[in-house]
Amino acid sequence: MAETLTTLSKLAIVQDIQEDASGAALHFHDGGHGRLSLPDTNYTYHLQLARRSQERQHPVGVRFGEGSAIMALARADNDVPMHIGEEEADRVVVLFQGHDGVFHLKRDHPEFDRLRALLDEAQRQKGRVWFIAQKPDLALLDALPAR
Amino acid sequence: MTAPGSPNVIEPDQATMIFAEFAGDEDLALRFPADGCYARAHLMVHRLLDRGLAPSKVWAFAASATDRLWMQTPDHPEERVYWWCHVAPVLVVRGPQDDVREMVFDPILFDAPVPVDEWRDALHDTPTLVRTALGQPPLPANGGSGYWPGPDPLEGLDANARETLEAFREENG
Repeated sequence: MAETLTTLSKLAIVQDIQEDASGAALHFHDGGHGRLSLPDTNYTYHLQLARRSQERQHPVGVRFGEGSAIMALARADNDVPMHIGEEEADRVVVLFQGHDGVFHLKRDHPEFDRLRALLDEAQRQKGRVWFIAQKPDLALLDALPAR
Repeated sequence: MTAPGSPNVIEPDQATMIFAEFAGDEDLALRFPADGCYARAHLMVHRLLDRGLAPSKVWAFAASATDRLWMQTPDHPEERVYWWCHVAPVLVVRGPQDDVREMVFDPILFDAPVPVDEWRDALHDTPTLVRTALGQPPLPANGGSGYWPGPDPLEGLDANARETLEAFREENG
């Protein structure tokens, strides 16, 4: 499960939502699209996250399944990285100025190099990033600079 | 010492009742201790303000990025969670000899209000404590309004607190 999340969860900003009898089609600013299915247990929460993303133009975490099916949306967070540590073998420790928790970037994340570079730069610049993290282990899944 | 912003003194039974309400409050997502103390403290402070009380906050900061605060918990697969900082609301409570003490309301760590020293000791480290009045950042160099030890979240404090804890409940099952 964790590997699936690591591989497929991405940050995206919802541009448009079209609801119909069987769910909702989401269109993202990057040109992508996907579909939330009404029978899904968390449909109401996921649609709420999509609406917040559209209204605020803030990113949301998206996990795609087969085709354009959206398996899950996850709330994205924003904060300033303050410590990126090499003290653990299989993962990099990431602390943020605001969050109390200890986040990690796993070295086997398929986009480890991009995410590490982005976090390093944000720490140097004291810049804010958007990010999503797996729960409960707080493994970072994706991050973007906050503009 | 009385913390700034905490002029009120409440009775022990009132403190017990308030703590019991926090401990049973599903909105606080107490089963997800790995993160979110800032959001819990924000919600608890607002509930205390709604009662006409004057809470402050106490913050604990780890000695270093690698010498972190921690607690044992059944609510995490590793049965232990680590933090680089921790925060909880404080009220001044009348003691048994009619003395007054600052008591920390932290339902993540305890099942009753506790004195600040006991709260600090439960964090298993040698943390630096910082007390703040509402609106005052604990680390002024980082900016922010004292919601957490950094610049305020982009979506606003109330939305961040509410939605952080909502996500813990929804995404943590």
